[in-house]
Amino acid sequence: MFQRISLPSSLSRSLSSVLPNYRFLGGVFLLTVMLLLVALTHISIGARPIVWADIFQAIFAFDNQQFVHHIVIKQRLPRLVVAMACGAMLGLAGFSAQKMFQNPLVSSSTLGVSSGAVFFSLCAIYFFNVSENDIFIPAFIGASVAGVFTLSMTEMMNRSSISKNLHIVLAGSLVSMLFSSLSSFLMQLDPLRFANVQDWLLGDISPADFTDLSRIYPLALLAIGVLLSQGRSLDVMIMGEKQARSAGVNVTRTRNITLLCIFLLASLVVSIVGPIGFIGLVVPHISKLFVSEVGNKGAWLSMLIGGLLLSFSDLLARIVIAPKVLIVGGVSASIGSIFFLCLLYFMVRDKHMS
Amino acid sequence: MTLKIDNVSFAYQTDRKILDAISLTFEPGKFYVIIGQNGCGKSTLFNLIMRHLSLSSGKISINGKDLQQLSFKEQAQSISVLSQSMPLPEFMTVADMVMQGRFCYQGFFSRFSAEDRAIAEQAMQKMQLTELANKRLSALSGGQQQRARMAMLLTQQTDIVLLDEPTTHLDLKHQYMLLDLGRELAEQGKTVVAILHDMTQAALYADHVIVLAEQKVYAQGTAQSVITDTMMQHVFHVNTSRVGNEKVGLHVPTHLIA
Amino acid sequence: MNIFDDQNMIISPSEGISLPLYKRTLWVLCALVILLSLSFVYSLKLGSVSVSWADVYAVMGFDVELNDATSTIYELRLPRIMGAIAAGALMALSGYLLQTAARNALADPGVLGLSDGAALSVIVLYVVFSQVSLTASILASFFGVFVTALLVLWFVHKNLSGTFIVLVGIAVGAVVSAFSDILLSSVTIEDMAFLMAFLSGSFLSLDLTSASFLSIWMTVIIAVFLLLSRYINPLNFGYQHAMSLGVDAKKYYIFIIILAVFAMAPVIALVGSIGFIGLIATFLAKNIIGYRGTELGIVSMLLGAIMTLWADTLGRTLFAPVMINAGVFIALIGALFFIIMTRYIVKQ
Repeated sequence: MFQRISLPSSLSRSLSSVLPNYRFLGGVFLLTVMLLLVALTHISIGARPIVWADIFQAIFAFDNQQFVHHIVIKQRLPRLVVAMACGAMLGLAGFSAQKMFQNPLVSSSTLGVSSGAVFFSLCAIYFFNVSENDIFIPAFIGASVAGVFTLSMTEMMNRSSISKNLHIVLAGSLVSMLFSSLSSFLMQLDPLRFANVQDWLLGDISPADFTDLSRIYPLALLAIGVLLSQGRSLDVMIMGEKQARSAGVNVTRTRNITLLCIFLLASLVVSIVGPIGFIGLVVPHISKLFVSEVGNKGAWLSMLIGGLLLSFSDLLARIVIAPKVLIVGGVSASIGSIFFLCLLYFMVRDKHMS
Repeated sequence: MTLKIDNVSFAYQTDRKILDAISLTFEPGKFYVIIGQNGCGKSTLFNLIMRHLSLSSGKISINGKDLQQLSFKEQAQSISVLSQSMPLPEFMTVADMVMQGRFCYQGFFSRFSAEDRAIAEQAMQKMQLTELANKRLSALSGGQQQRARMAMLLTQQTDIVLLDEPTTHLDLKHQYMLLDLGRELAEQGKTVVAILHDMTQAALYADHVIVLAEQKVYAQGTAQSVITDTMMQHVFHVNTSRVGNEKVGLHVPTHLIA
Repeated sequence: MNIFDDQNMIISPSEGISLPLYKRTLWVLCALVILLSLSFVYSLKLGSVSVSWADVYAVMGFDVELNDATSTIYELRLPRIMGAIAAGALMALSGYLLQTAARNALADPGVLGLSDGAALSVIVLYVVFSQVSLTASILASFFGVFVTALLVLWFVHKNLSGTFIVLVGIAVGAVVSAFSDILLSSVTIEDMAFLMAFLSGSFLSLDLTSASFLSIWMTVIIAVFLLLSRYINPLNFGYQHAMSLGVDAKKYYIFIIILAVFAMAPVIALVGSIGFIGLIATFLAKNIIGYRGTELGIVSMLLGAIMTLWADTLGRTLFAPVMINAGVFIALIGALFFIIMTRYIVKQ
């Protein structure tokens, strides 16, 4: 029933030998340090390298005259904060999804949710001339439609408990393919209108800044709060639907609320930076190295790891082929899809599935 | 044709030996039945004969000629096998499938000739499939599919016929129809070897019974001599007592007859 | 009682060479050939530049006096149409062969990620060298198919029939696409337009030489297929049972896979990553004429050719003046089809 796959099992074994609480706290400490390092590096690297000392100065003793301070505060910091925020949102969404479905392969991208959000956003731009500010509405609708589509497809497939994991991912991939080909089709109808959308389609953090964040943070905080509040119910649901019901959990309501929040978080991210894939897939696995998914510790940790991961990917995107810059979505897709493939491999190997 | 298994051993890459120095001779005109526990190597033996697996040691020959020297086509004209693990393409019709048995007799440019078609029709008649001829395989029941496999085997018209648990999925009437068919083939001079799990059927039909256990031939001979309470104890680990007369008997677990 | 001869089959007289054909199959074949020819001619006429039937006749009679109209047809449309037909037939055949080899109705170059892999190799070539010869791109394509196939096979081991291989194929396709996207985003704007079209499969860049090449290639592959097609029926029963029927299964499985690769590689090199044609065409063909090795292959090819031709023609005429890549159309239909098919097929 517990669908745990062991990432290098030797690693998790050695970590579990240390007392669980220490593992969690140690993890938090380690990850926070890494986050700071990445953050600082992120800000310092760029067309004009900036020394760390200057960064600290800019933040704590902002001097309007210094050009460097401007770069830090107006350009680099926003981008970093957006990356961390979106990463956190994606991480939490992925964590909740994997916890709810008890399936190590799900995430907002593998369920086709992001593709749906993208397509509906494009439709909104094309047919209704929706402005940038309101894009998150069609994005949310699209995310939900795609998600529901995937889930209903899965229902129609085999009900065997082993292949069910694979089936939901298969359904998700198909839905994703459907919506992305619809998107390509739509874009070809009016290439000019969509010319400046190309980068966003891949998942691009660079144009985003604090105003974008300020648009979405109320809803984001709402979604995060609700998800955290569902944590207890989700814990009980790990045991299985029947057991959860008899324990008094309103399974349907929990499911729906969690799903809506996941869709919401995914679509909010898509609306400002585009579909960034696989963060939600990878984060829960890393989180499981430090703390079990029961309780909300994992949720908080996932947000931390998500923020770290996305900023790190953004960093990679900017330095890998410097001075040219890659787009974050591409980097996260490349690494994430390889990770996904390996997950598939381990999953089958361990479960002898067909 | 005489099928001779000479000192054959087989093991998968690990050291787990499935068959250990087995020697058996199958002569034309007789109905042989092989019985044994699950996993004792009965199907593996068939796989080795059909060259789906390679022998670890020993030789298998037909009328003295080593099987390895035959091409697949020649082998298909001499030995045919019925096995229910054969996947059936969904969209194929029964008629098409049964025709496939004639494949090994076709030349490079010729397809199914009138003779081939006549043989296929006969086979379908024999297995009572004529009304189902144009139906797709996916639309058939398990029993009908099994009969279709048997019909395909019949069209191959080989001298040696191997039947791996041929009664699977079949209802009683068709089980006996198939076994009667096996007997008929044997009387026509073919070499018929069947793997059965039903001891009674084995006793009723076999000219010669072979018991496989612990990688070796435990015993072989007439049904009377081989199927004994001792054998049931040693090979199948069931305490039985024989109930019946000299001609026909049933081995019933002792604790049920008191 | 004659099940076979009884109003169902048309048999050729001589016994040495007999090619029995079911009546229904014959009708279907004729209908499809006619449909294809009509589509061919009609596609020559359709387009944003209006052209009269007289011009079409002129071009087809090779009576080319290169005025505006005929040159449009000759240089712009004819290559696309020829290319689309050849590509459609080849990809359909490739899908059919893969399905036989994997014994899996969902196998197809697009599904298994093979066309993405090949396209990536070709794109790498374009990005690294600005001028790429036909041979080089085809070789790169072969390489891409080969490597991707190895990757998928390695993950799947023995279990080719089942839904897992589909998932692996999609996942591998995703990995490859991610790399393609990255590559694309690091390239200049002019190149980007061409490459993006290439990635989704477009007949725009075909000229008369490459289209002719593809057509000739198609003829050769079809000839080889016809020679090999006898063996396809037994291969459907699986490796072991094909052997029992008298086929040297190992040899022919390899032949089939190699033929499939040879069929798809040049197409992807010239046209880009189009997949799903094999999936759709073979599925439709099976439903129409059932399961006979050679005939099924031919009908699939015809359906594939017709489909691809119309995808291209509709793509350039339906939303004029905007041109939509054939590949995008096909991907869309393919995705829909795929979703419908998995409902059908996930009992494995």
